Amino acid sequence: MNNKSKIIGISVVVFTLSLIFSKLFIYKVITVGFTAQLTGSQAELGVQERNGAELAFENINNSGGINKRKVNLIIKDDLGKPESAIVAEKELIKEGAVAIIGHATSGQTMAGMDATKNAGIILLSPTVSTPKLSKIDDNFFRVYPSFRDSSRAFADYVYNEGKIRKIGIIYDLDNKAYAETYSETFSEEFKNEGGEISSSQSYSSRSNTDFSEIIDELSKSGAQGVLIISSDNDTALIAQKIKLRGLKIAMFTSAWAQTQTLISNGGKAVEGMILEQSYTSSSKDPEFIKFQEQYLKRFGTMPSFGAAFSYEAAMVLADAMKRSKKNFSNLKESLKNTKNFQGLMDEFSIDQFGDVERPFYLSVVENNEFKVIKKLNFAKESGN
Amino acid sequence: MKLIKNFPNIREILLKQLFFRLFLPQLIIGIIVIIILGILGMESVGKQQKEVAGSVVRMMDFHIEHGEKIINSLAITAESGNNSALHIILHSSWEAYGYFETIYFLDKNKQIKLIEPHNSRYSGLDMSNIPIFDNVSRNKVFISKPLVSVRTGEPIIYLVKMLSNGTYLVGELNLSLFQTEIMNIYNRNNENFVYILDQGGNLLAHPNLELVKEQKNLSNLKIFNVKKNKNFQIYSYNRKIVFGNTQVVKTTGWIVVDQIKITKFWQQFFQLLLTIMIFAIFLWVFSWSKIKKRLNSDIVSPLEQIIIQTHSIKEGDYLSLDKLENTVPVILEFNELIKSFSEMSKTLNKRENSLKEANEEMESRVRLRTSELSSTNEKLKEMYDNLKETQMQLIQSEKMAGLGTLVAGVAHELNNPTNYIFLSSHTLEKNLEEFQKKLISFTENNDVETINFFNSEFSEFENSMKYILEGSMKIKMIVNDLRTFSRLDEAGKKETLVNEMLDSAVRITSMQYGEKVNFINRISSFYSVSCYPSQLSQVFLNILVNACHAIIKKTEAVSETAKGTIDLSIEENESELFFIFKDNGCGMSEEVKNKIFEPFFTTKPVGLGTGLGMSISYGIIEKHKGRIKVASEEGVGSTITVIIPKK
Repeated sequence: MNNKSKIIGISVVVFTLSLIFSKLFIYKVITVGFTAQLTGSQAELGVQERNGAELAFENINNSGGINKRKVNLIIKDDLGKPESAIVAEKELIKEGAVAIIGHATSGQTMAGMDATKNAGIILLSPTVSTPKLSKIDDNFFRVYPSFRDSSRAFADYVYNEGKIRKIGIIYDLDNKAYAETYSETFSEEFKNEGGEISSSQSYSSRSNTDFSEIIDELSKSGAQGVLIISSDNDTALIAQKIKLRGLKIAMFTSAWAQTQTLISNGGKAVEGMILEQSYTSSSKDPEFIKFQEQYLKRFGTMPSFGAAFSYEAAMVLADAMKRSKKNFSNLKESLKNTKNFQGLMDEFSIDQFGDVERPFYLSVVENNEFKVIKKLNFAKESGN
Repeated sequence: MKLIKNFPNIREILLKQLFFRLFLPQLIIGIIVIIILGILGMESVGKQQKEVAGSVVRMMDFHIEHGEKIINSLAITAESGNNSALHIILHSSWEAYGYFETIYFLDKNKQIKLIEPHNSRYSGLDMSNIPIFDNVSRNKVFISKPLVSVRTGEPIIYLVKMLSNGTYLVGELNLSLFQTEIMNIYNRNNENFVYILDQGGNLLAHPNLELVKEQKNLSNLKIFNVKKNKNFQIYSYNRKIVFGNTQVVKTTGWIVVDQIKITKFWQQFFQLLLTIMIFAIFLWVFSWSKIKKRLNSDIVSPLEQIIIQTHSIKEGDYLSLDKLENTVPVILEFNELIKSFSEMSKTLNKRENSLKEANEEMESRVRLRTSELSSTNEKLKEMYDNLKETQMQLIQSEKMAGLGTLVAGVAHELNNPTNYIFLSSHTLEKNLEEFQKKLISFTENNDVETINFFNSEFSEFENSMKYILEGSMKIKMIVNDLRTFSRLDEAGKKETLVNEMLDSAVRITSMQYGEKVNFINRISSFYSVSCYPSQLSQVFLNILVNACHAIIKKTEAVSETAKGTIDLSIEENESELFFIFKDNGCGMSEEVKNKIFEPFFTTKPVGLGTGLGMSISYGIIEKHKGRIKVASEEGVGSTITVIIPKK
């Protein structure tokens, strides 16, 4: 036998063995689920979060995985509907996910979290901020702070520094858990300050309304400003509609809309819009800059807050998994033990209820970019 | 058959040679051929993939060109400034083409003037921030990267044309256009499919439409980053190893990928490989069993036959040679070998046979000589024995004769005094009786005391007398016996029936010893002999009594009820009668046997025997010109044979 045939023989054996082993390695893989709204006109946040999680686990896998086990990320679209959120979670559980990152919005989380709760699986959201999920010891965790304080601080700012006394509120009923609660806390604080809610209107983003009636009402109420609690796309559209109507009022929006889509679809209408942000793209933290570069290289666009928080969520999860037992039976405790975690923008800890306390910012859209105008420090929640 | 273990046999050698030099190389060559075929197959599939991707590129070029044409033709209408005409044309174009998600006509500020399909929700909206206007020129239709429709959220690309008056025509070309095309190519069976990426890795079309809608980015795929013009790329896709080929759409920089799961591709080759392996193994088993059969019948078994023959010839067996001759080997060399072997064997056989014959003759001669010698020897031995016995008899009779004379003298001398003693004692006894009576009668007044004194004294005298009489009686008997032994008592010979004599001897003995001894009489016919009947009876009695004593001596040691036996038989020849007394008593030692006929020799305790029985018997038999033979074994028993001449 000459050397050539030997080499071929060996390569056949190696090839066969590698096929067998690649099959075997699958059993060592950790399956992690991801769910958010990925399709439709409001999908930008979810897509960004999906990309952030993908980038995080690609980085984790490239640096050896979690305790030498690779992560397989399974992705499900929750279509931005509560009923689909349940389906998505159930499917992920069925496919063997040991933990799920998602959802992007509060409404879907409130709807879907029963599925994970029943299965005893961790649901870790990058961006859900409704205070309705605060202070509950369950399987739900998040890396995004509750807006309870931020919405109040925002209301204070609108009243005191924005000099707005009468404000109209428009919010999306399809993410009721977020939008309605946000509206309530904001209103409460705004009224406490002495302001007046001239109109409060809700709509369903699925109805494809042209907002003319809503804007009519807003206009009639004599509001000096408007708070839009909607997705990026809807906020942009409402802003454009208000501008088209020639209504020259100050516009404010919640952290939900803080994506590039708000600017690209909002056109000139969103210039000067003030929004609450838990994220600042102008951070100079080297970790953050590295993340931005990686993201740009991988996905061809700059990351939005969703991508950053999702990346952090994935990193928090991986860190907790590293400290967990092999079958992740104590993952919940490990997550609770996440203390002084170095995130992309700041350091944070997860409390016993799976919540975080992090700073937030007020930004303004200026020359098609978000610009931080104020850092609002976290104030300890009292009571409740 | 036994072989030396450390040496492989011919089958093993052949098997090894065939397996390693023929079968295995063939199998390996087969496998290599399959692998080469597989690699060539991959090359050809790669080429095919390139062609398919190329066709998709051409198709996309066509569609984009088509879209551009529509936008261009719309632009001409728009330039005319006739808005109502534009409206109609927009509508008909949108409807006719079907792949424009939305068509916008924007003013200089990029605000929507017309939107098709019409929707008041969007009229007037400012689209200036949508990232599609940066590279727009008047000459060319700009093609954007994939985005989602502002209106519907569907995945689209924008075709943007700037008009001479600064307004814009924007078409949202639905990516489902490409989707339809790639779905036509998609082969579910072998998981061979085409997908399209934009220059940033975003999916434009994929058989899994969801991925497109979700704005999946595949820039992490190896095939996306390697731009080399290779025949094919092997990379990991969705945790599976695939190989694929790309083509680039020149106008947009988009990438069309055609890929197939490598396991799916190799499956057919593995199946082929498996088939060949199974077939090869089957062929091997089949052909080896055939070869083994032929090997056995044509080579091994003739060889083994020869080996067996060699062994049996070594053992001197030439008979099974026929078997060897009957096996007809197919192979010429073996035929020759067997022929020459059997010839050699035959020659050997012949030679051995003649040797054997010579040997046998020699041996028979030796045997003859030897037998002659041994018979002479035997005769000599017999003569010697006779001589010895005669000598012994002579010595014995001489001894007896001496003793006889001595005893006769003693007996004669003792006879008379003994008679005096005996007779005088009798007289003295009678005298004493009378003296007693007289003394008592003289006693005054029957003095009791005196009478009693006399009575007691006389009873003592009486006792003494009794002893004297008894003793003298005994002496008399001994003297009589001695006289008998020494032929002092001659009586006439007469023809007597011996059966009666024996019967009476047995009767007398059994009276005393019947409880201890069984007498078995095996005499079935009547014999008569000329003899001194009373003397011969005494001999028989002596022998029987001695036998009884021997039996008692032995049985006493065992138990009180144990019994012995005495066999009686008579044999005869022409001239003599043999009286045989066989007991199973204690037997005699050699020493006892030699002294048995000497007078006063006894083994019994003092007082029980005189030691004269056998010596008297000897004398009697001698007188009859007969013999006594004694055979005995200690602990087993004795046989006494009395031989008397018939006449």
